[in-house]
Amino acid sequence: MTRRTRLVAVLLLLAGAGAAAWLLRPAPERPNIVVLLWDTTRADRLSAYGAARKTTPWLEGLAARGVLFEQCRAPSPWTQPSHASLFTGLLPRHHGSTTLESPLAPAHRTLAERLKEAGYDTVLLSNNSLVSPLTGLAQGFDRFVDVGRATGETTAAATLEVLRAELAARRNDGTRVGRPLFLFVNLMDAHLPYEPPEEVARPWIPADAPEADVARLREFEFPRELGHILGISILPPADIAILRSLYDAEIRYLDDHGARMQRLLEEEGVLGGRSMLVVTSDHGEHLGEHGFLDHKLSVADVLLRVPLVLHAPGRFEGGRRVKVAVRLQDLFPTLLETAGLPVEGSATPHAASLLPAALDARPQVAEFSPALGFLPRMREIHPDAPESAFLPFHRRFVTLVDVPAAGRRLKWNITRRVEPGSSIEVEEGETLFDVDADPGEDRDLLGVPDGKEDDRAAAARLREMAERALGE
Amino acid sequence: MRPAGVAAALAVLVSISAVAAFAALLCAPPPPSREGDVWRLRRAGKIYRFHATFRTEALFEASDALETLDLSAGRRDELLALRGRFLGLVRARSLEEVAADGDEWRRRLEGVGYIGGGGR
Repeated sequence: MTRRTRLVAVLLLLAGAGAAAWLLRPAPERPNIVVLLWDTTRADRLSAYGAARKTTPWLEGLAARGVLFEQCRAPSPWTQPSHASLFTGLLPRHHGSTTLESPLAPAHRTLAERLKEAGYDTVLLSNNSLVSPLTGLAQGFDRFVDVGRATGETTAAATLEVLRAELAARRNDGTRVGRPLFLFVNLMDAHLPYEPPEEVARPWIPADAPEADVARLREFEFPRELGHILGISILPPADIAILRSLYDAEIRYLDDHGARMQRLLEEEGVLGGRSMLVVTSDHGEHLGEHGFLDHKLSVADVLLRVPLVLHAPGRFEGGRRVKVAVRLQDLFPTLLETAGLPVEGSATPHAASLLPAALDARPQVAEFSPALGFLPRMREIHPDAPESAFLPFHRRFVTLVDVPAAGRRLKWNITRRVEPGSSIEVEEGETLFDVDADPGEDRDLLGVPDGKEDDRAAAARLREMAERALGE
Repeated sequence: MRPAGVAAALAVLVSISAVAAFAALLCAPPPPSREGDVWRLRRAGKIYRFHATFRTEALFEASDALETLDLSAGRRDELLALRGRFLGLVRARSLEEVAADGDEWRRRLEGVGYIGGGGR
C-alpha cells in the first residue's frame, strides 16, 4: 500500500466515523414549555404591575424568580387576531385572521406545528370558543380540549381538573411521556360576565354595595355592555365600581389557580429543570374609561398593554423587570428559540426573540376591524335608536406606540369609517397621547389649542411608521 | 385475427385506458378541501373559501395562500363562477344546503351578539 493509498484510507475512515457519530448523536433535549394565557387581562390591574390591590401575589413571586416585561402590548384588542399573532409572529392583517369568518389559513406554519415537527407533544386546553379548531387556531396541537364542553363550565378550577386528567393520561401513554411538552392553556375568568366564586369576591366588593346590585352585575354581559358603550343605556358610576371589583376578584382567582397549576405541573415533572413557564394575556379590558366596557370598538392602551412574565430557571437572571417595549407576538420566535429551533427572520418581520439579555425597543402596532357582525342584533334590540348610534361598528382603528424618546412614550391613534359593502375608508380623525404620563388617554396632544409643532410632526412620523408596518 | 392477436390487442387497449385514466386522475383538479366547517376550492388561480357556520364566502389569489386579502367584493363574477363549481362538486343546489357542524359554536357566538357576515 502506497503512502497516498494509506492516507486516503485513513481519511475515508475518519469521514465514516464522523458520519456515524453525526447519525448516532443524541437528539437535542428540548425543554417543556407551558403558556398560561389569562384572556382579557390588562396589566395595570395586576399588583405585579403596580396595582394597589393585591391581585397577583403568585405572579409577583414568579416574576421575582423570572423576568417581567413592563411594556408588552398585544397587536389586537380581541382574542382571535391576538392568538393568531402569538401563534404565527405576524400582525393581524398579515396572518389574515381578523374576523370570525376568517379562520387562520392552513398554509400557516404555526408555533404548535413547528414544535410538533420537532417532537413535542402539543396540548391545547381552551375555555374560549375562538381558540379552537373552528378558527384554525388549534393547528398543530395533538390534543385539544374544549374545557367548557368537557366540564360544563369555563373556570380556572374546571381547567385545573382537566389539566390533572390530561397529565395523568399522558403519564400512562408510552408514546407521549418521553416527548417534550408544549402546553397552551387559555383561561377566560377575567372575561365578561365577571362571576368569581362568592367567597373569592366578597373581600373585593365595596362594603356599601347593595347585594342586589352585585348579583345583577355578576350577570352583566351582552347586549348591556354594548348598550353602555353606544350611550343607549349607561351604567351609573356605582355599578362601574362594582364591575371593577368583580374584575379584580377574577384576577385574584386566576392568580390563585396559577399557583395551583404550577404546583401540579411541578409534581408531574413538567415544570422544573430547563422548562419555561409563560404567563400573559391576549388583550386587556375597558372598565368604564371614556364610557367603554368590554373590549370592542377601541384600541385604547388599557386593551393593548398586557402582562408578560417568563419563568425559565437558568435562562434569566431572577427578578429582572424589563422596561423595553415588546410585543405579544414576540413570543413566537422566543418559544421557538427556547425549543432550540431556527426562526426564519423573513417570516416574522414584526416579531423578535425576547431571549437576548439586551433587547432593542420595538414599536407596537395594533388594529381593530369593523365589528359589523354585532350590528344586526343591536339594531334588533334597539329598534328606536338612531342609525348614528351604530356608527362605531363601521369603524376601523389603528394605533402605534412608539419607543420612548425625550421622556415620552407616544401613542398615535387613527379612526377610519368603512363604508358598508365596500372597501372605501373615510378618515375620522387622529389623536396622540403620552401614555406613560397619561395612561388613560385623556389629554390629546393634537387636540389642545396651543398644540406644539413637534407633536404634529411626531404624529406624521408615527402615521408613516404604522402605514409602513401594515403595508398600506 | 388469431385469438392471441385479439388478446394482445385487448391488453394494449386495457393498458392505454388504464394509463389514460391514471393521467386523468393526475391532471384532475383537486376536489374542495374541508377543515371543520371551512371549505376551500382551488381553481383558476384562485382560492374560493366558504365558511359553512356563518354562510360567508371569500375569494383570494392562489398566491395569497395565507388568505389575507379578500377579493370577493370587487370580483363578483369570479366569485359566482367558483361558487357554481363548488356547489356542483359538493352536490348542493345552494350554499344553504351545505352541511355545517358548527351550530353549537354559532349558538355560542350569537349568545354574545355576533351574527356572522352581518352588515356586509
